Amino acid sequence: MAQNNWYNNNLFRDYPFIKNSTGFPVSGPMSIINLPTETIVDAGFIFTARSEFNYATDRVYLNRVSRVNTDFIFEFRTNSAKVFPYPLIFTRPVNALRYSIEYADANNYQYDPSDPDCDEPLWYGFLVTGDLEPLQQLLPSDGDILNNNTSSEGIIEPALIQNMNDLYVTSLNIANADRTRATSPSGCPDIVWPFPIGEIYPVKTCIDGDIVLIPGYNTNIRLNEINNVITISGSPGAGMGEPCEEIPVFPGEDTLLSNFPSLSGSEKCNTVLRSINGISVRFFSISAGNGVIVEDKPLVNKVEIKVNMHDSSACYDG
Amino acid sequence: MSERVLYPQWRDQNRETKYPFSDAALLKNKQGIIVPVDLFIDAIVYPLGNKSRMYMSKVIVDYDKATIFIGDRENKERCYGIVPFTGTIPDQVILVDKYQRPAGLLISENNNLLNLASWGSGTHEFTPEETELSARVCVPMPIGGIHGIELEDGTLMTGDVWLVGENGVILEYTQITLKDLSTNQTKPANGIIIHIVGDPLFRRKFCENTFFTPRYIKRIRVVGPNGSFYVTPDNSGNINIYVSNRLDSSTVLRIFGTTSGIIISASGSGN
Repeated sequence: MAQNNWYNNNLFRDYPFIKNSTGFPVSGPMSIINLPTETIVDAGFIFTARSEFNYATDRVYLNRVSRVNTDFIFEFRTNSAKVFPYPLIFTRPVNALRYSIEYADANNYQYDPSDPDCDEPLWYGFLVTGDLEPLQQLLPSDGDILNNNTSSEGIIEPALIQNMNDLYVTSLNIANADRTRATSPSGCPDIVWPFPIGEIYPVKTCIDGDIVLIPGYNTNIRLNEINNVITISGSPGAGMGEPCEEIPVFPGEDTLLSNFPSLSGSEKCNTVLRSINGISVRFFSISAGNGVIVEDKPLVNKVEIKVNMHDSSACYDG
Repeated sequence: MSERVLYPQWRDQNRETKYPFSDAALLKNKQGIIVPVDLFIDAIVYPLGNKSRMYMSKVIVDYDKATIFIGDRENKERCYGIVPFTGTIPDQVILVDKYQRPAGLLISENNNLLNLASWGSGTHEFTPEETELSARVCVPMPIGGIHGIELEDGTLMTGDVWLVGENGVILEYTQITLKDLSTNQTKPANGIIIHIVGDPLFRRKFCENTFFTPRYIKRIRVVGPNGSFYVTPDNSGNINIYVSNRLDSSTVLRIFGTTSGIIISASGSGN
């Protein structure tokens, strides 16, 4: 509970660490449990939506205090697996004024190098230091104070941690599953695709900010503002109308398949025989009438039509 | 002569005070249920959309657990946490909202949460005046933006949400420019185009085990006395087989259409 002498009170107690996790006099090798209570008087940490932090199992602790020349460096870590590699680092001059405040972000920007738009600190926080004189006595020159037991030394009070893991939508990402690809008829060579098929193809990752859903071909989008419901439905000719050509499932698909009859690899409707004389049936029959013989030669994919005038009588005018 | 600790530890100090409840909280409801001052010794509460004056609105006590609800005047059940009475009694109550998203933490100690069992089974309600939380422990959380996408079945998606088009639905990304009609200013925005174009080969997909790829006829080779040539379908996939000219009387060849094909015959007279 904040009051005028809030920081002053905290000079003389473990807070913001839990009780008995700092402030013990040195009696052997130094570790974080020997950190003077005057050193840190307040702190706070926020874990962001992608952090996977879990109150039930995870904690924040002071992992190391280092002196480098005229600076103290405070390194906080968490045992939360995803965030563990990314400590929060705070730096203070050894003669910093009391109650200096510093804010820091975790340096995890290489987390998703494929798309820099997705960068967001996994956690960030602030640190208020108090009287650094006792710490100067422990670290009069360059050196480290390490945490020898991260489950009991330098543990931050849990109520100083705000866990926002999975609390909101951080980004929209769009992808398309593969279209149904054509296969070769039995006995024909397999189709060779210039890219792996049957995959989910990412189209765009880490979309945030203002997002507009646009009805494309044959698509209706309706918004019910009262219930905050978006309904997407299909209707022939709706939205952008009916497409004149196939839509790639990922950028560049049409270029890669420019030599194919279609993006699915199948023949287009107008490149295969679908009817003869306008008659379209599953089994088309060519029958012989008077004077004609129709012979099938399936081994050579041949139909022979002979006009031999059999059963016909020829009449001559003279 | 009693001793006074000048600078008590944080939790020791709070054990004797109403904190994390506000100083004005009565800590007693109309049914006479008394909330011990050491039930909680610290807290952080941040359900989405919380407004002013968060308070412990309700505690439902069952034989094996207690459920603690935190809310405000607008929504009494913004978040809740469960205290089990069996097994190890926890020293903290993790608060979640109705979608199980984190919403805060109540800190206790020394099995003090077992006191809730003594309240008796049932629902024990409180007013803001009785159990208001200190403003220090309530973190305002704006409701603006998109906090989740809920499906018809109640599933809530948060974090990095993937929209995947399949079975004839194709998603496309585009950058567009939005115009604010009130200020006439434009700004870039992300556009997601949803195409519903169908899957021309859907029978292969859904009849995978029984579908055999047909061997299409793409052209017909015509072999005649004067050589051979190929005939390909027109834009409608059709090929016409005619007998010369319909009005030509110089041939006896006839082609008739039937419902299932054609009949080729010779009849009539020719010159």
